Amino acid sequence: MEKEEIKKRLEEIAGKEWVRDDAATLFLYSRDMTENEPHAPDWVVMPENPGEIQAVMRLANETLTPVTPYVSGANVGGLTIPVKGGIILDLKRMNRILEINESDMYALVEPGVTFGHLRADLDRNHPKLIYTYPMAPPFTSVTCNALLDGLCNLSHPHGATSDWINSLEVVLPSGELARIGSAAISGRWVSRVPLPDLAGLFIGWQGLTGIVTKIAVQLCPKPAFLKRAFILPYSYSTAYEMMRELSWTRVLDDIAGLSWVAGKMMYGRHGPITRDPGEPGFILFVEYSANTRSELWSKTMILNNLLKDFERKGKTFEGPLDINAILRFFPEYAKLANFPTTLDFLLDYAESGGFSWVGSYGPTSNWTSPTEKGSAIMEKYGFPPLFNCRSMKGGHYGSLRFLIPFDKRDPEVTKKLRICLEEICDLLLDEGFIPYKAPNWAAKKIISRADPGWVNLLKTVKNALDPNGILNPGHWGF
Amino acid sequence: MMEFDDIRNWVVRCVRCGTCKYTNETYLPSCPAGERFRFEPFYASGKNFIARGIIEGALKFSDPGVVEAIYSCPTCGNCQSQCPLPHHEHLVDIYEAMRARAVEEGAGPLPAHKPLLASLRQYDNPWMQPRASKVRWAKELGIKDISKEKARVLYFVGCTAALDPTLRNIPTATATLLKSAGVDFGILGEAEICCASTTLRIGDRKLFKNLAERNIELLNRIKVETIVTSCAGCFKTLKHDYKSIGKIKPQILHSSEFIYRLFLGGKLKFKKEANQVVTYHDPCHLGRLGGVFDPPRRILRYLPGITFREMDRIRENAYCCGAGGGVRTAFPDWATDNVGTRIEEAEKTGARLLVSTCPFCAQNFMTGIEKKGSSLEYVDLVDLLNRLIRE
Ligand SMILES: Cc1cc2nc3c(=O)[nH]c(=O)nc-3n(C[C@H](O)[C@H](O)[C@H](O)COP(=O)(O)OP(=O)(O)OC[C@H]3O[C@@H](n4cnc5c(N)ncnc54)[C@H](O)[C@@H]3O)c2cc1C
Ligand code: SF4
Ligand code: SF4
Repeated sequence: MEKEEIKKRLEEIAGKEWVRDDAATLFLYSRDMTENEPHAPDWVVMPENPGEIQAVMRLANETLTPVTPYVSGANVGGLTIPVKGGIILDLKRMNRILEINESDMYALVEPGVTFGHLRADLDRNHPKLIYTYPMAPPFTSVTCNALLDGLCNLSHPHGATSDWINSLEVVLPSGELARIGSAAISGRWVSRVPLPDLAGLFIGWQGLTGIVTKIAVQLCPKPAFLKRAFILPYSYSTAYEMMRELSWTRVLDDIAGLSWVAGKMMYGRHGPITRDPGEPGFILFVEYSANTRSELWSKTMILNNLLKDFERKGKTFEGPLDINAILRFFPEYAKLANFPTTLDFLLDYAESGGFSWVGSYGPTSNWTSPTEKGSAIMEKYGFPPLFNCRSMKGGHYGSLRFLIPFDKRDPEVTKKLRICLEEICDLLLDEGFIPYKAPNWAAKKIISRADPGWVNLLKTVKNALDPNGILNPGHWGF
Repeated sequence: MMEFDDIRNWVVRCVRCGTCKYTNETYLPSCPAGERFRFEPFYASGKNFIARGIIEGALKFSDPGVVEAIYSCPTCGNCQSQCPLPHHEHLVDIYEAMRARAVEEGAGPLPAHKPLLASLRQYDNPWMQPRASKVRWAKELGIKDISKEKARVLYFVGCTAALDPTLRNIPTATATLLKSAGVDFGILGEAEICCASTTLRIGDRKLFKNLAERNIELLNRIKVETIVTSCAGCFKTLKHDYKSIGKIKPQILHSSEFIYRLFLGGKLKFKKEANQVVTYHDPCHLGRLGGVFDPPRRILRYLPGITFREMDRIRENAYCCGAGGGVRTAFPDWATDNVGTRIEEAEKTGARLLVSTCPFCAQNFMTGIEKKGSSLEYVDLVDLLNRLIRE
């Protein structure tokens, strides 16, 4: 079918106003903040409901046109760059919070609903409930984050955001609509058990197997008291030992860390950043909550006692410093006091709109070695050793992410960045960590090391769901 | 005001984080253009990236969608209030510099803007009206003609307030208030030249420079101490945008600031109570881009019989009515729809009166209220005050 004919059909489906193929639009959707090569789509379509998405998918199958779903394009992995062109389905118009169920503690949302919107709705209308928030900018999609196994400020007790999914509604590549989880059986969006867990067909797949049109995510009761404190260990090994032991206390809601570099960036430093002698190497932050003051006090005691043990063992660190005390002297820390937040100091460090990373999940028993080696790689290529980490799901695994703001204007820097990211990715894989939200190049590395049975199964699933290979082609090695 | 070549180092700072799309912490829509068109080019990040694309040679002003995206924006500056990165304070400058370059390259402005510019060249006002019409509102009010008689204060009426008969109550109320407070003031009458806000917003820098230079010369020549404007656009242009062209010696105040001073000095005596619930809309060029938020609010809070209620989005976060930046001229339906959402926000406060301080916003609000059949009444602050000082 000719391009003009496809456009006409898309306009019939979504309405003329919601299909664009002008140069300015195609340019905007061809790139993101990362180093991944731009590639333009042929059309950008903004559907309003699942029915329109179904119709687009049928047309895409008929014409073998690639389709890439998109909400904010802030995944930091080039995942919405339509590497084979075709249709970008921008889902921003599907931004309704369909239900907040206070009794069953879930939110049923469309894919365009962002963390900011959910937070605002909960604060205004359901102040007894909270959700979990990433360090991503506020206007990124709750659905995308959950489908990408996001890590957030309540990941320590509850795991990646994919663990928060109760039920889904999804348009399959064929254009059929399916419900997953309890919603498929009872019409209630309360759980994924006790059923074959078909949600796994869509989680971690980067939009290659279906377009989620509704998602129910768990909410938590808002605690009466909340305390956020900072601890500044001098060495990475002390920091990680602390993080592991803190997770064993079973009383914390968040255990996360940032390298010392972040502290300097927060004060507006640009250009080369060095560590001053005697400066702590790590900013460890913990959050805990309680129903009563005495419960909060008990948790504070547990934290303080554990830190005293560390002192006795001769480990060096500063703190714990209460966030409110810190804010009095260092208002810059406000960026880490309340979520969602925009880490402007990080995003602007290179003063040119370029930002990338390799993020991963892996064993907390082996946090220190990849951190030290990864930091050295970054320094070797002239990037400040900026990383962050978080204890996940009670400490059963942890995240480790190396972040690189880079000068996007400079092709030499971009070249160096690519090599640096690849080296870090190889290192992480060697050390037992698996890259998440994997860009295409990283996905290829994962696949090259994967158990062949896993790879075959992956292909079988993809081919069964999307025999024409039209959904987000070019990603996950497909 | 920035030149296109000066924006290079700023546009590259945009990382497309999207934080500017909604208001910080309250997470309400901030960008009228984004709300209307939804596609990425229409948000602040889109315009930054288009500029970057042009600078890097990947896009041209003549490419489809480029001019449409850069002109589909009321230049309200709400993105400036939300963006946390250092280029935030230059966002509107960036859009205006892009428009200026588009005009230089013959790609801009939009066809609907051209008659405005022709009118400015011919009549020194954008409303296709002969200069003589500018004093019609003042007949029989006995106001000094400042070109003939000295006065301490110049009331710079502005083209919209002076020439739109439906807004005549704005200049008449302003003059009445100034008189009743015993202010020694005059007007320029036929000699008043458009402040040139329109030319700057839609990108005709040559015409802007011409009008600005003539205004600066005129406003310095008449030797007043203070210039008072009715229009938020005139206020911002004279006070802030002229700086790149020359210096206006007299201080420039918006009428709400000047009247607040009279009010504090006990120069205004109210004879009636309003007995109304009132809300206030910050015009973008007065509030966010002009830095004046409090005087109108303070006056409203102190007025006898008034219950003052704020809308959800106020001050730096105030949602634009959608008239500015050439939008009402080029996209009248969008401007009316957009003001509709602001009207709904005002209605939500339970107010009966929607007060603001800009004739250009007034036009848009009055159209929107009529279209929606809203029970709100739009009143300019001076009009409200004028009602209360009369027996
Ligand atoms: C500075 C910064 C910090 C960040 N910090 C964190 C963090 O702390 N934790 C974290 O988890 N993430 C973080 N992120 C990553 C990212 O912002 C989030 O994962 C985010 O939620 C992605 O949302 P998005 O709207 O940008 O998704 P997009 O980039 O638009 O889409 C992401 C992927 O989902 C696919 N997709 C889109 N819609 C659908 C759909 N309806 N169905 C199926 N697939 C779909 C897309 O094709 C793409 O593959 C950060 C990002 C930035 C820029
Ligand atoms: S203009 Fe500022 S807030 Fe908006 S996307 Fe760019 S950097 Fe983010
Ligand atoms: S000036 Fe206003 S309409 Fe234009 S991009 Fe900024 S917020 Fe949007």
